[in-house]
Amino acid sequence: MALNNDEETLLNKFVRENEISFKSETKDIVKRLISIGHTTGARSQFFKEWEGKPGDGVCALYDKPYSNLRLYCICYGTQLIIIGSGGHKPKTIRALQEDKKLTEENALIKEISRQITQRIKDKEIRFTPDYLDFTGDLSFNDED
Amino acid sequence: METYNDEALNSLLSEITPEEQAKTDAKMLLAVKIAEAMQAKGWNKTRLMKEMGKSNPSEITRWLSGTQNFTVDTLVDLERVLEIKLLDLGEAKSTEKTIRQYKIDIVVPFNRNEKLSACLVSEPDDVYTYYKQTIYS
Amino acid sequence: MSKETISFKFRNIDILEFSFVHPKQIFPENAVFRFETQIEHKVNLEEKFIIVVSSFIIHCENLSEKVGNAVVSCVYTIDNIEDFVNENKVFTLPEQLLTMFNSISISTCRGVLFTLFRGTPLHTVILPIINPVDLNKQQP
Repeated sequence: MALNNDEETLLNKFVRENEISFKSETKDIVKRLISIGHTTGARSQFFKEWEGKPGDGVCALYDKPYSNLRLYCICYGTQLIIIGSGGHKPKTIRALQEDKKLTEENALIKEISRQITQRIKDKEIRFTPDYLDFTGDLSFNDED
Repeated sequence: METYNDEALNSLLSEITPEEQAKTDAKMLLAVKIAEAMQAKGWNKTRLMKEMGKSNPSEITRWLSGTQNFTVDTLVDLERVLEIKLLDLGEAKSTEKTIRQYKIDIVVPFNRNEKLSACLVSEPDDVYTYYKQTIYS
Repeated sequence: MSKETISFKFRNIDILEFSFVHPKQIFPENAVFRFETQIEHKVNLEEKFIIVVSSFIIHCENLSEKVGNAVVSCVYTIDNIEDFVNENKVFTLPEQLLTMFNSISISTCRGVLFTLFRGTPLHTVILPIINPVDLNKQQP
């Protein structure tokens, strides 16, 4: 997804910000997303859940203990995920809250999740008949 | 449908070869197969950990994450405890397909003094159907 | 009504498994033996085989123990086997042919079992005559 009518998606932003320093890991993340999209589906085993508030679906794509990157997503079942952004996990931190970038990206995705949930309740957004996408007011801006 | 100018992403996508993607797909599918076998057995991660003789639950999480590059030894152990096939080693693949199966119980009373031919075919939840031909030798 | 010509022949007989467990006591005069029997029909379209695998576990009811087991496979080839695959790729054989395979296989197994258990206490325990039509009646 993209915010503020940006021309680039959050995932592109993530790739752009990290592919120079962490090319191999960025590539691995994208390859796993391709597998999820085309082969396996968004099974919960591929994500670290509970990265947001209880029940908001915010999670992170599984990152190995010594990996450098974290990518936040929102999961709706196994067929629909919203890919957010993320960033570098500095080795000096023990929890994401100690890193400003990760905290910001985490807060952003939590807010997006909250807004989507609210718009679903207000019937401004609904699932497509095949439950593979959302339809409706999918424009997210800073003012919201 | 909205289109985006995702230059960085598109560039990265063009660098991913089919061979590279196939390796990632294989790891992810292995993880799925393991998870489904666990579900079929009603096992959680702790149970699999114990069956595999491990003590660190995060190792099991990593196995299921789709990022693990398994050794053959681990795959062989997983095959054994989960009773599934993960390695296709070109064993004689059965191309035979079962088209019909019968299960019957045949009861033969045995008498040393006469030769009997008797045919009993039992059906499930049914009494024996019994008839007897006696052949004297 | 057109008659279907099905040309088939015996290809081979294989003994897949065999065991005899000597009973702890001699069989009593009124011993009752039970052949727990399973017959499985398999098809290999590439090789044009029909394989009938018959497995027998022989129990002596009086002694409540298993005394023998044997698994015998009878392999038949059908020349025009591809004619039995319909447009939905489902393979079906006519019931009369299945009955014939059962009949031939059971008779063959009777002989094989006699040979296998010859010289053992099961020497005179012969697999009874089974009406193969009755087997098909069991199928749903």
